[in-house]
Amino acid sequence: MSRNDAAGAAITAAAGDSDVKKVNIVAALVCWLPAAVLAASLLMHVGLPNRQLVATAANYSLLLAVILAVYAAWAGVALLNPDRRPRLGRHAPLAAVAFGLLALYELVTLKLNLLPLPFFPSPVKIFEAFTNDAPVLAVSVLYSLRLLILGYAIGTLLGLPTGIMMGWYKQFHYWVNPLVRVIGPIPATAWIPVAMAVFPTSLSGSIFLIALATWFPVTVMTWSGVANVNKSYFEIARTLGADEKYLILRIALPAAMPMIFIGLFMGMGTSFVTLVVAEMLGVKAGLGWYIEWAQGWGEYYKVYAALAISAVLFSSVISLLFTVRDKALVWQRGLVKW
Amino acid sequence: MVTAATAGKLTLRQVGKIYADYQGGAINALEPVDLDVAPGEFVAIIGPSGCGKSTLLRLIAGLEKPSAGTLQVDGAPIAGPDYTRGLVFQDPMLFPWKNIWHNVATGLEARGLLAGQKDEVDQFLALVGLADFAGVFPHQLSGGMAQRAALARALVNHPKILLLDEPLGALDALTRMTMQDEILSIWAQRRTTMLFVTHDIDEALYLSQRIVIMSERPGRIKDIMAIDIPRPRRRNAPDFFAYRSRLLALLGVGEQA
Repeated sequence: MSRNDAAGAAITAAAGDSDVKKVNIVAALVCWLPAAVLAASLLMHVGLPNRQLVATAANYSLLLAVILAVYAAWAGVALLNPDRRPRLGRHAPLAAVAFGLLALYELVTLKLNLLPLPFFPSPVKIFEAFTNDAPVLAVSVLYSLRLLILGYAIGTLLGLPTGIMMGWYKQFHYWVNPLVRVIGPIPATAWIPVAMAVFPTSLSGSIFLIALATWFPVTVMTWSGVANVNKSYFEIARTLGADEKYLILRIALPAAMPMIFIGLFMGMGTSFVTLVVAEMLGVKAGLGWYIEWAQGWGEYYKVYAALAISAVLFSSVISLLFTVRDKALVWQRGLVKW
Repeated sequence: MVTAATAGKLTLRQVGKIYADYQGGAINALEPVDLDVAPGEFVAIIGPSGCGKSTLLRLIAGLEKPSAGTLQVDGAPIAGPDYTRGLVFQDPMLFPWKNIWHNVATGLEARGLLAGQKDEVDQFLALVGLADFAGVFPHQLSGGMAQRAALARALVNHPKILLLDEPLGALDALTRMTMQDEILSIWAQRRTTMLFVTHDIDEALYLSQRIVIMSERPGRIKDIMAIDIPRPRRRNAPDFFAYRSRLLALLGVGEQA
């Protein structure tokens, strides 16, 4: 981004006075793009007749109006305060296209009825699921989060020491490596029949599955990270008076941290999969269960609503993990930004 | 604060090292050597690559076990690595996840003394001129600064012996000369016994009281030369020429003119 800014600055500096004005006008117009697209889609939404059945279109009108107000206000602030402009300027084209596509989708569904129902419900219908089914959806999110947090935490807390011990002690590696190599690659979801039969509750069974799904990548990447630490670090530390505990916890572990975070990200991905599948097959709550249940009734608009929530939820969790990593690995150069 | 060194006497008797190679054969890295280093002495070790000078240093550090012979510091045998024998490599090998302050503090932290001796860390940072860089991470430092930090990290334990394995080998000529003077001033202040491996003849001459000349395959001590040039030494002093000629001849690269 900074390169673009620099290029922009160079253009501005090189251009004449009238060109500067032109650039400023274009930048201001770009800031108003999302609001303009939203205003157009609101007009379309209210103005064109519906050709599909929806309970009420008023809620969706309100939603569009609120978002329109937010973007208009933001653009207004940016107009008065040029410091705010670059951020909105970067964000605005993407937002405008996204709102445009949403309006287009509404046009071909609700307004023109070109796509088959119930598989392609209009955004108005999907929004209906949010307003009508809010309590069930909220409870589902909480159930899914509880399962994810418990399973992921247990998997990580078991995977870290397993990986460190495998990387550090040859004997431990000798005995545990075959187990990791045989059990690890089996998709955790394949254990669902066993887990549901062996564990007393479907919750404990699902926690086990997600813990298993997390444990494997965390173990392998931690092991690999610890085993590949530059031996000179240990030699230096030993000449400085470090004992084995210090070497493991204060040298091997931080040195392996970049690899450990790769394992944590991989574990996060596999636990999302395991979570949803486990909820679809066994657990009687959560987003996976909600999707399965809505599909059973042919209410695909609810499926889409749950998918949208999953997207936001899982993306937020990944963002959180990235934030933690950026804090923990601040010493590394050239981190990939999320 | 110049104090006469009382500790840091090094005694090597018939110390040899044979490595096993990957085919099960044996590589004779170091023929049995005898070496005595007085407390507070500055000894340079010089020789072609593969002459066993790094092996010798690693044996003294306790990172390798000798195949034969005995190594003693102040009369006690060397059993393994110890904070009284500090080590600095050619690569500074700063811990990249620690900032400079915490890198220098490592020795005290590892020995559980950091809480009471935080001032020490600050002092050694100041000693090597890095007081303003305490919070910086290693990848933000230049090569010379990183090597200074590595020196401070080794010094914070007040080692009796400092083992330096081509510590200035990767630095540019000017930084190198500055660092040589800094090492001399640290030595003058602390009277730590210095074992300085290098392949730079001028560096060895400028710094040391004695130069150990080693020859290659298998590594052995060819000669030991005392350098009686008064200090402070000047880099262009005429005294150096005679020593340099003798050293070059010993190393088998004498001028053919």
